[in-house]
Amino acid sequence: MNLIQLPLGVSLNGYATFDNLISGPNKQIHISVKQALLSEQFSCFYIWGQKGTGKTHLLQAACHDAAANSKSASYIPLQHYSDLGENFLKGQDLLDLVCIDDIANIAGKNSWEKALFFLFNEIKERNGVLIITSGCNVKELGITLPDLQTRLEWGLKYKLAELSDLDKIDALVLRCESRGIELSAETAKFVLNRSHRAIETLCVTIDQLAEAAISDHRKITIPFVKTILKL
Amino acid sequence: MESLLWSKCLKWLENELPQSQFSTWVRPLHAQEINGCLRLLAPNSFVLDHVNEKYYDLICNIISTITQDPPQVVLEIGSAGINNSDVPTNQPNQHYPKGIIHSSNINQHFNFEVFVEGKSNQMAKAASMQVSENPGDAYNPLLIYGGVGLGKTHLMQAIGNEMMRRNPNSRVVYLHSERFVADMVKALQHNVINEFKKYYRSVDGLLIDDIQFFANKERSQEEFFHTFNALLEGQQQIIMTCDRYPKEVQGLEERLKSRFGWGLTVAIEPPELETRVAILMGKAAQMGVDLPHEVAFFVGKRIRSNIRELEGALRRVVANARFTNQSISLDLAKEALRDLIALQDRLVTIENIQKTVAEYFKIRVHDLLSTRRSRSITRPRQMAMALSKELTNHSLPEIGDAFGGRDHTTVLHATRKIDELCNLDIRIQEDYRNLLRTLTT
Repeated sequence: MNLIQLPLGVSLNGYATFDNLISGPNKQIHISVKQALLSEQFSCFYIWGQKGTGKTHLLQAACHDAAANSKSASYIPLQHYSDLGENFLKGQDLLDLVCIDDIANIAGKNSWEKALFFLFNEIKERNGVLIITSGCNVKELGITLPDLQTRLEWGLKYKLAELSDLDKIDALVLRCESRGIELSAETAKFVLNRSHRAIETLCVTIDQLAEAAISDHRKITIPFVKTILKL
Repeated sequence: MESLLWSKCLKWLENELPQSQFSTWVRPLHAQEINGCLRLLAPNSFVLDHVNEKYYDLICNIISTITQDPPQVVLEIGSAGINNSDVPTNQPNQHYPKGIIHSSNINQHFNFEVFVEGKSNQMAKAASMQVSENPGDAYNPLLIYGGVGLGKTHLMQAIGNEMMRRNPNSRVVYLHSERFVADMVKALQHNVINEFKKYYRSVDGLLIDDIQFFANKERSQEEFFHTFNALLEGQQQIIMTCDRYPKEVQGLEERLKSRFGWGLTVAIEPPELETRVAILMGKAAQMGVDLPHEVAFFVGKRIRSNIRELEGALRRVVANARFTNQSISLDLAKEALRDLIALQDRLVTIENIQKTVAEYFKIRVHDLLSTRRSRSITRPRQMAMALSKELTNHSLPEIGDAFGGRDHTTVLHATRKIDELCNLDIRIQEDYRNLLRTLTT
């Protein structure tokens, strides 16, 4: 039974689970979210951070986790759906967990802000969990409805920090491991030092290497990386 | 007794629907079987609406499969238990009709004991306590207004809790104005507007939050107007909140505005430092946390705009302490609120204060920094200096420097003068509070 609600055209990344989420400096945030999912009380999180700090992964991991515990959840990436109108949020209050990705897309849009404010109230009344992410602090969002602004400030606000190089190496190794492919820390470091450092780009690179390793029946070694990436 | 047909239908539905949907929507339905017709009773219009839209066809299909006859299924609001005339009524009010279950929606934690009183809210609290002791009497309606996150909902629900404590049979219903609108729209769609009217007109206390959201919703205002009149006539208590003085709400009918003023209208102001500290100490105690006074003072001084933000900051400090397994200290609080403090420091600078004050008094920033001594310039300059002292960590000489190279004693004089004037002149106090609010929210 699928307990995760998704808008049309959106699918959850199966890889984006807590098991595959490297916490690094964000351990407290990840633990807080996990604890809230186990609780029967209302929780609201406002989590912000730069691109590539794992906001989307965290939200999707929370959805997977909720579903695994027979709770209903939804993942709403507002970057794709803010143009559709706020009716999109109707019925979300009945779910145990609502994850809203990138609230900045609706900041300043009065009808959306009102709808989110009511959604907050309803979720609170039903003791659900609401997790909202953004690229900036609540105060810098440009929310025009004070009722919504203060409610966002009421929740637990956390800033996600960028992963260190060591954490990124761990993330790359884990990504390969989940596909049954071995990647040594040394090779991961080699990739890291020769690629764009943003985690998303690194993941694309590592996926490309993994695909090549599978089709060539090879291990991912430094010479193999050099060949595939033409270094 | 539950209908046998419905019991069979339930088994089918349990297999057909996800457990969460079955529990949320189907389980609350009561069923009565009358002459082969299945009468399904939903607890409220919300459930009725959802079941009608999502499951009605499915239910009809299952019924026709079981009975091999065309289905006769009627969906209504009500409850099998209450509709039974054998059930003793024990009603406190003559106006309470049978067959309606009122859901209070009141948070029991919002009571007078945990409401922290200060200068900013003592009038509102006193009025609220009076209303809870004598509902439907002198202060009807009671309207509490003030900015967001200042405790209006808490006070309103405290009245409701106290009313129910004093009279456990009293029917008190709390709802947000938007819920009233949504319920009304659904009632109209399903042609159950009379049930809707009966529901809201048969309470002993109606608590409506954030009435500013009625603005520009004419049909809802019309319905609320009649509900309002009916309740007032029946000496049933009405309590409302609004984020501003109701006469200032655009898009609200004049007749409503005037009726809102028939009883008592009280304001809640942002809490002063002592109250903020007391609120933090109280919230911490409720969370079972030992909060040192110096930490409460630090957080209270940093966060002044509203209680929700204050609570958010406390929650963050407590979360950090629990995570790191440390007791709460000033250093831990500073670390936990590092982002917030950094942001405040970035947003509240002397330059920003000068710009905001100049805009507020419609003068130029250049005038604030000049040597001009006319009253129209001196007073805003003193206010900007006092605000700089209050909101930034700059020293008196640094502030003096930023105001055209003035001496630190000038800044000291300005802060004392503004403090004195705020106590003597209500207009200056208002200006100072407005600027403070603008700069800190």
